[in-house]
Amino acid sequence: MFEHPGEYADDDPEYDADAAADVDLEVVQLTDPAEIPEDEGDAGTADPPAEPPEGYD
Amino acid sequence: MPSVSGLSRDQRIQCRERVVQAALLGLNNISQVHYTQDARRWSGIASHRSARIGQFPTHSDCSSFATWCLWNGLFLGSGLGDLVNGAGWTGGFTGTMLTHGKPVRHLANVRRGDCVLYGSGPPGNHVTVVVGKQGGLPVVVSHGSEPGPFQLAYNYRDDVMEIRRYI
Repeated sequence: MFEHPGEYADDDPEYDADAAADVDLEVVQLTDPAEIPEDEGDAGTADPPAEPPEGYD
Repeated sequence: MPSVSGLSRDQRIQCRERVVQAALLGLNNISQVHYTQDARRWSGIASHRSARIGQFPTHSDCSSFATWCLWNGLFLGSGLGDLVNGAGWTGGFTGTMLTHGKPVRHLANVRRGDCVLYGSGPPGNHVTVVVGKQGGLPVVVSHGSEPGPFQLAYNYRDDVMEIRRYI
């Protein structure tokens, strides 16, 4: 992974208590990546819907 | 220092549960969650589809699916603005996701609801949502093609760029 020049979330002691209190779901069944098609990627733009819904800030 | 979202520990845990609930709902309705990069990809949020009552988007791409999952936790669950793309919950892509939230430095600190971004550099070209772990390593839900979403090891691709937190 890239080194980041900015702040890291996990440097924040606020998150220290999360690991003890949160539940980590142990996932048993995974898909074999060899059995899935190549990801088509992202749209590459932030285009919003033609009529943005009301009620969001 | 406040968390990325400003939520308390208990609120963050609830938020993560809603994000994971949304991702797994998509996974469990694989045949009805179609892949598209056109404007329909935002239909999940625009149509106010709530995973809590079993609703999911019928069309999305990787970033709109990840954003919809986080919207379930951050907006529907916690009433927060768009901390994921900074677009008022109306748009975004991996490039805007990379400029919001904060990166996670250590793999051991990755939590549910964090997002894994892939590519050779900004703006990235794929994103997935962490839903749990297997053997201590993150497991993600990825919606990168029509047959998806799939549940995969976070490093199912060899171009993991970074892991970011919005909660």
